[in-house]
Amino acid sequence: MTSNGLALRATGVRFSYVDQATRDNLLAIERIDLEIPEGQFVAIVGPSGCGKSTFVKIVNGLLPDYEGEIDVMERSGQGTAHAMVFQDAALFPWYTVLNNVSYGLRCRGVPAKAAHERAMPYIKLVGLAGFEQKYPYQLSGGMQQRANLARALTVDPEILLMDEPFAALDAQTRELMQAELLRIWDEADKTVLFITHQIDEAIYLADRVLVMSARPGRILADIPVDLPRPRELRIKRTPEFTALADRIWELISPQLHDQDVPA
Amino acid sequence: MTTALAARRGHPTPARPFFRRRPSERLVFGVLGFAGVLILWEAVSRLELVRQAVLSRPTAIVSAAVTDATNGVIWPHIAISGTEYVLGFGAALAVGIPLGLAIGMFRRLNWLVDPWLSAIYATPTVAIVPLIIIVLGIGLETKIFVVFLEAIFVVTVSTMAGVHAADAVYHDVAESFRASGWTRFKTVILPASVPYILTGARLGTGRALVGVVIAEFLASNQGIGFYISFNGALLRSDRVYFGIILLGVLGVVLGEAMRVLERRFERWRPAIN
Repeated sequence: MTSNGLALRATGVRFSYVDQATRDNLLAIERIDLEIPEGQFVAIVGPSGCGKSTFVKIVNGLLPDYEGEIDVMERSGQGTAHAMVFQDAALFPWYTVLNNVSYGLRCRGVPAKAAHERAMPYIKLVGLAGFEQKYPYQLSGGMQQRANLARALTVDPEILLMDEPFAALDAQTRELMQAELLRIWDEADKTVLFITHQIDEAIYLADRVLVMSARPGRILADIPVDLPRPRELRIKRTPEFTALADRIWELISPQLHDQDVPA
Repeated sequence: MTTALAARRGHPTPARPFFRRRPSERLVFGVLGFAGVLILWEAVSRLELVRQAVLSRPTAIVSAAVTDATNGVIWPHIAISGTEYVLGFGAALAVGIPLGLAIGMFRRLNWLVDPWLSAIYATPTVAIVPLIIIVLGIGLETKIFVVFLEAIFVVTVSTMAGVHAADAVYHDVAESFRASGWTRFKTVILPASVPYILTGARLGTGRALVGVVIAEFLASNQGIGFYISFNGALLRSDRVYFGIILLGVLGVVLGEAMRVLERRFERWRPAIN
């Protein structure tokens, strides 16, 4: 699955912005250096406000005013370099599932019919067959995130960027979606950069967990997860898993206190 | 010794009969209130407690209405008011919606035209009418322009609000898929604006009707507004009331028509292609 190629390289990424209210220059990300090999599943965990969402936005090209360098390896196909699975409620409420999922292709000028045909396999892959003509409000939260995932996969990206995609789901749906994501990841064969603030979610999903500091964000630790795959949800109760979770928690918990200090 | 457990009974919901009765009860009271005032009005007038010319009375209004409808007096007035309304309001929509979209999308354009929009909004249109008459004379154009001025502000401002109503995340999605500016307009800005455009149009229907009356009061020898002011000058209050009622009915019908349109378009959004 993994070749020697790198999917993503970030070098000295630093990001600051001007607070609209106070006119202060705020440093959101101090420094991030990162290399992700092709096909790897990488999770970033950190306290809220640490800049992890900011970092994926930078990778996704939504925040162009950063310092440092980001290289995304282009695959020699017609695929896009990266696509984003947004947090929640990011489906267009005025389009059906089919039109939402084929949106990325339509943006690239693919005619409607062809785009719909190319979207169908991904709708099936995420388990939404039969719901093509439904509107987002007719779907549960979990199903909406399936559609969100399909929308990103349809443009066949090299890297899948996921910004806390399950944060708004209830605990049970979230667990189910984690297992589903691993199944889909296995089939779709993508590099994934997954942002979360949940330690167990990060360990369960990823090959590698990056722990971020409180703002201004930087990477505190790069922890490999060598739990065997395929992983079942049961694995969360093994001693190996809990040991990893404890280790990460010990890195993050001192960061949480720092948050009470005004930035 | 009594048992420790006291029997407790819930209140079964009387939902069905209760809700079924309510609308009809509401109707009864509504009709009662409406008819009651009419009867009281008729009685006060017949007992000659107030002068006939001031108050008129429901039966006199009905007979005046029947007379002017059968001898054909009222129809040209309705036709001319309708023409002014349709053309003036149509122009307000045709200019206001694109203008609102443009202002909403381009900050600098907003700053550029904002003083003028505010000025038009703040100035009572009645005050501008003499100026419009100087430029356009007394004719259909003047009245259409007054209707247009009355209606355009709400249409424009509401449409502009619609542009800003699109959640930032939708713009992020479009951006992340590298949507072109035109695609983003069609897939994010326009769909998000639709409900606001419809609301603006509905508010505009009322404003446009005000415009019709103002224009016909000040610069016309035709139309429902003229019919009202002309008969007012002759102290024919029955016909004044008839004209007022015509406007009221027109207002309600147009407002309801817009509401139906709104509901019809609630689910509608422009296609992606």
